[in-house]
Amino acid sequence: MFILSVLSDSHVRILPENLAKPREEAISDAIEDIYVDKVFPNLGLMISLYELVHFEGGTIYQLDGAATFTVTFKMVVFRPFVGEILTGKLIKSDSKGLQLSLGFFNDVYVPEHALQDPSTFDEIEKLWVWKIDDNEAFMDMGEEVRFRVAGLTFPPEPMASQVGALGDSENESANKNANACGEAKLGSISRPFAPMLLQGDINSDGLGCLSWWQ
Amino acid sequence: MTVAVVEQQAGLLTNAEVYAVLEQRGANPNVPPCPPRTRDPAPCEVAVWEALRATPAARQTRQDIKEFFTDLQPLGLTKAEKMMLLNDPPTTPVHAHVVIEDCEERLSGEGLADKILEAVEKHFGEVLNTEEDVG
Repeated sequence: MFILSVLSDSHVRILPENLAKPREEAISDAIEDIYVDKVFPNLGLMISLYELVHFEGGTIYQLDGAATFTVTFKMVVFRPFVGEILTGKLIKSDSKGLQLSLGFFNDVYVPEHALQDPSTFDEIEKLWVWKIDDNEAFMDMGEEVRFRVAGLTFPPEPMASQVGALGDSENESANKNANACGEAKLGSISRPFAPMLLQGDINSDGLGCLSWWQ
Repeated sequence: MTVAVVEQQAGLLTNAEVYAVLEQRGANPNVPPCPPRTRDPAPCEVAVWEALRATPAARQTRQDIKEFFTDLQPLGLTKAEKMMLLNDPPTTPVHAHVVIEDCEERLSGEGLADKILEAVEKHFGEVLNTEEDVG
């Protein structure tokens, strides 16, 4: 699930108020403020600063009170590999498929074509059901689901024109600016923008609800 | 561009290693950070720590892990497969088959899954059985 990545930033600024701190601490703090809990495009979700490898500089540029460093550092990154088998909790079910949560990461989606075959969506219970050997196995909310990582995507940030304007009330924005599919604007509360998406697949023996295979 | 990825994957980290790193950063409310830090751990560090606390990773010792890998050595598994077996040790054949591709054909099909389950039971049997007791 996790990898170690080495990054380099040539523009790490230590603000004047932090110049009294020991250098390593000031630089670590600055890096953490910028990178931790952010998704680095095409890399993954940065969880924690592992270590500072090297830093140099400390140049003070004209009209700037901050000292600028070039820093090379290692980060712990959440980046599952395609084909990895993980377990998540079912947090949402709709006709399009499932949404699972890993606890610290919720953008795991299993589209309806990747569910166990044959599965149907029960409109009354609003749950997916797998018909196996004349039994109906419901996928209940909160169930632990084992899945295979089918894909990892990093959608580009939506452009300003695609996002609801600040100040629009949530409903106004969603209704008046809904796109052709009737979906709310990307970036609104009902359809938040996810910079990193995991696509899962549960159409194999051993995958799906843990309770099915015990 | 001021930021560059120097090395996308300098290494794979097992959940146990990440758990240990986060604990050192102070994510465990009962264990002070080492080396001492002036700042609190970030919310996402705490969130990942809490998610991992509920998994076997939180109780796997370095010794267990080393011995587990030694036992898996002759089985010809890939690095990725060994990682998955460590992060989520299988206790049923069906689980082992899902993690190891073409389980039947490997090691001339002679109970590869059984050997894996045996190694899991030997090194992590206790760890897996005490999972309910998350303190």
